[in-house]
Amino acid sequence: MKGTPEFPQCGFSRASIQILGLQGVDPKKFAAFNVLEDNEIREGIKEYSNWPTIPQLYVNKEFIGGCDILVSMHQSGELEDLLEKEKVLVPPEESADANAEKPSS
Amino acid sequence: PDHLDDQEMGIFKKLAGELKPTRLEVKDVSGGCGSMYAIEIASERFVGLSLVRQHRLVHDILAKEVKAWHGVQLRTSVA
Repeated sequence: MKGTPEFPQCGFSRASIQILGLQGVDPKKFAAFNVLEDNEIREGIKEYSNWPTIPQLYVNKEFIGGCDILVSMHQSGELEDLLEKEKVLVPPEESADANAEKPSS
Repeated sequence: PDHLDDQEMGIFKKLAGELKPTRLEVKDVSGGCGSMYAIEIASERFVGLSLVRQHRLVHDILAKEVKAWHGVQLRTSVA
């Protein structure tokens, strides 16, 4: 992403983080990398995924897509299904207010 | 379409040629700077493809252009 989950430096990165928060992603299972701090990652990740833009979401090493795809999948419910299947959501016995937790980076 | 500027038209033609879309909109959303485009496209070529593969198809066609842009907003559908 551009910036950090606490201080996103781009609208698309911000939107992506918000969606993950809304879905209740477990912060312990989440890591964010600020490409603005590291140009090698910024260029390397685009080569790796053969995808020209940032942010990029990977779930268990699989490239899912960028902001537009996340928004679509979020609206269709596909994202929730994926995150549940990959077991990266906050388990139900824990905090009920997943939105308040910040992903670790 | 006559409401597109030169760059939008170039993108429009490329996508129209490759994907024969049933619906296609190209808009410069960078305030005329040619650095960010919003593209909406519906094409039968997308049938059976996951969202990310649909987007990849568009990215591959516009690979050269996208490199020069700051970003792109894509909305794809099969119809």
